[in-house]
Amino acid sequence: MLAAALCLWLCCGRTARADDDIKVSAAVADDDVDVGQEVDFTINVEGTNDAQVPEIINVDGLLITYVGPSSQTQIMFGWGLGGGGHFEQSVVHTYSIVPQRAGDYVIPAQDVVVNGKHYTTQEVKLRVGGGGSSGAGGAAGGGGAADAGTGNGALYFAEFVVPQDTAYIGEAVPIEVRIYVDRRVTAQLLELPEIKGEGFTVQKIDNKPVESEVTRNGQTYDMVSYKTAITGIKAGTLSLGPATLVAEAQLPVASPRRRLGGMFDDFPDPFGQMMQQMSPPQQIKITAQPVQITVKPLPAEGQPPSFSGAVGNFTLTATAKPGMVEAGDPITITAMIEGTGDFDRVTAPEFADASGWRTYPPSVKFDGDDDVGISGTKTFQIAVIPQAGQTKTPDLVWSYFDPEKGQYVTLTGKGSPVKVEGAAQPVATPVMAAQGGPSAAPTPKPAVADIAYIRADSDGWGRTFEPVYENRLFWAAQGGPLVALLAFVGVQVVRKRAADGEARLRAQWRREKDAALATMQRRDVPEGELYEAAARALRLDAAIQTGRAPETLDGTEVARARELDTVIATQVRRLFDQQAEVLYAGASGRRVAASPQARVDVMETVKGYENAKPAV
Amino acid sequence: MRSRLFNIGTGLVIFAMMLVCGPARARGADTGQFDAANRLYEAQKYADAKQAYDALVKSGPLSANLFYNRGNAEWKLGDGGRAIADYERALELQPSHPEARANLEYARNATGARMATPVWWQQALGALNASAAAILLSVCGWVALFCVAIALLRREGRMGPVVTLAISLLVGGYAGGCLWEANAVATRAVVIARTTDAREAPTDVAPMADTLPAGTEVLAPEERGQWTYCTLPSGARAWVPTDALERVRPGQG
Repeated sequence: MLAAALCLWLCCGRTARADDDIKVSAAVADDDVDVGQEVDFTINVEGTNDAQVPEIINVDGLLITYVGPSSQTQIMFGWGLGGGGHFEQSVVHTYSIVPQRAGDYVIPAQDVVVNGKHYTTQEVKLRVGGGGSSGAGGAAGGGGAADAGTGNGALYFAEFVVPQDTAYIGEAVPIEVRIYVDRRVTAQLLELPEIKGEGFTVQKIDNKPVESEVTRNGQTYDMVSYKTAITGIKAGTLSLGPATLVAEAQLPVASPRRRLGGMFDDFPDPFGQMMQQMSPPQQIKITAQPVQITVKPLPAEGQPPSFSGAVGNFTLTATAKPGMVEAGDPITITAMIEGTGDFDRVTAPEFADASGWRTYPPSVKFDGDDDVGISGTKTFQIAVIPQAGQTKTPDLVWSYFDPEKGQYVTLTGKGSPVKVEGAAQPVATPVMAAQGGPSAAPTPKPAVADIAYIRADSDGWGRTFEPVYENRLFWAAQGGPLVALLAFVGVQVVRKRAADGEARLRAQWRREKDAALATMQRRDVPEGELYEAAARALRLDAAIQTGRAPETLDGTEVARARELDTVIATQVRRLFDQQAEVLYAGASGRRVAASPQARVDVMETVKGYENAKPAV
Repeated sequence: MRSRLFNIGTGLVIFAMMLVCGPARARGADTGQFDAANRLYEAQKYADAKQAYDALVKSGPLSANLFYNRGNAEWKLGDGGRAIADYERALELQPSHPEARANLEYARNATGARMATPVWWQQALGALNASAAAILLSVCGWVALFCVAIALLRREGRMGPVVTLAISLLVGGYAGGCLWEANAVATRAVVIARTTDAREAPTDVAPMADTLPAGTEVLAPEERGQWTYCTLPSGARAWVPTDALERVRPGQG
């Protein structure tokens, strides 16, 4: 019943305010804060709780982060005719502001959209003081370029460290870009510093910076030092810098006094005092302010002809290899320029007198001793070809300007002794050589600053880009070793088989010999079988020694198979005679058992034979 | 055994010499035309000299000096890219050509041409060209096969063949690596345009990957009509207009 009455009342009255009743405003909770001290910025919209406000507000020097909306609806009761009731709706959009540096700021009017209509807030002023804050975690001073070089209260700053304020054109000056970040700041450097400076060339920046902890004006900073070198390329007072570097950082934030509500508003927030708050990650730009350097021109007076612009302090050494060549063969002169300076300006030494030599453009290699390339050794390898009669390579000369002494220095790389044999060959002037005639001698060398001359010698015609394995002859040639390999394997297999057959035959002879010896040892062996078995055993033994078939051996050959003494040899021959006698003289002896004496004699003969050394 | 190994070694040395000398048999050259082209160069008629060298290259036979001289004529005509390509060809035919090497370096410095910096193993494997590596690989292969045969067929004295087998396998492996590297490098091409833009896609409006000066070497070019997909000196893969490139070794690709 009560609900129905309320609905009826609401329907009779106004349900909401008209669009004309929309009011928007903006305000900061505190218009005078310090750097790093967080303050709320609010956009208040009355008459609706559905308003679109910008999520991003950009004000240089202020970090503004959208926090979110907070809406409120009130039911207003009215009585009397046509009174009814209505809603009082409002929404507050809150932003968090963290000042990055001191100054007077104006937060511009913000556009608010309600039901498709645009409304605008008023501008809001904010004063940010640069002094320190006593709040817990409060930032001590602003960061950025405004405080560069001082570090006084800044959260981060950068500076140039230049060891000298004057330099000559072309002189390499080592410099440092130092980045200071307060220890309370969590920062990650995203890139190498970018150094600007008209009239300077900048060497590559060492990408392995030196990190250390330093104290500036009582504040502790993490310092990152990037080393590089600059070279002035025009005279005058030049400005080096600024150098800028982008980092992602979370800055310490000092919270405003929290609204604890009611009577607690007058009490400080104990958690805000104790806990360090950090801003969300944000990109910050750290800038080192420019410094002035006076660049002096090089003196025109006393400039040697071989000076090519190098400024610094250098030494020159020259060596040549090989020391003995045929005329026309190349010699490599290695010139090493070592020292400190801008090596981009170090060019190859020149020959003092190169008559009688053909010279070619040098190859260049630089080995740096430091990470910025202003100290090291530049090596030039120059190919030269002597004509006959040369005894030493030509001297090399090279000049530079010494900024400490303020004068030019000419270095000489002494030539090395060489022995050149044979007549001069027309190496690189073959056009004339091919034509013959008195002008067949090599043309004077082209300058090193030009390409080597054409060659007209007609050697090496018929070369091809095809690698050798794309030529059929290559594959045909593989047949040679293939045939040789197959022949080798075949011969080896045949030999092995023959050797195996021979071994098997000898094994068989051994078995037959053992059988014959066993027959001899029988007590009832007939005399004929005794002599036959003995002769068979001796023949088989001789066959094993000589490799000949046992049937082809007679008593004399059997006796020769071993180194027998006279007695055994005689006994062997007699044994064969007796065997022949029994075999051919009659059958009687074959059946009569051999006498023990005969058996002993035969056994001793066989044993004596076996004990003798094989004949060589 | 030692005598047999010696005989086999001698045979293989003779075989290697056959491989070297056989395919590289020289063909007669018309040195008259070559001399005439050289005289044109001498007279500083570089365009005419280049035409004469072109005709010789087209008709063959070839020589390192022919490409070297044509490279010089192209250089004099201001065509640094083609000059560098021809110096490369001269060195391909005769790696010990000192003038070609010197002029190549000079031309690269002058044009700002870029090359991929080889890593240590590429330098080690680049010591032999394809032909030398193939011959060495062939000889090592046969030595290894003979050693295997001897070791299997002989009952005693196997140490010699086994050690020789191990050495030949090592050397053969190196030769195989050299051959692989030589084939990888053989497909390289040179930028002949004064400068050309390498792009991330084969169209003129695609984002630019790099700007390549004349003479810059690109690897593994794959022609796709008007664009060639290749590896830049930086190691990145990108598209380069086909007409801005010339292959060092004709007929590759």
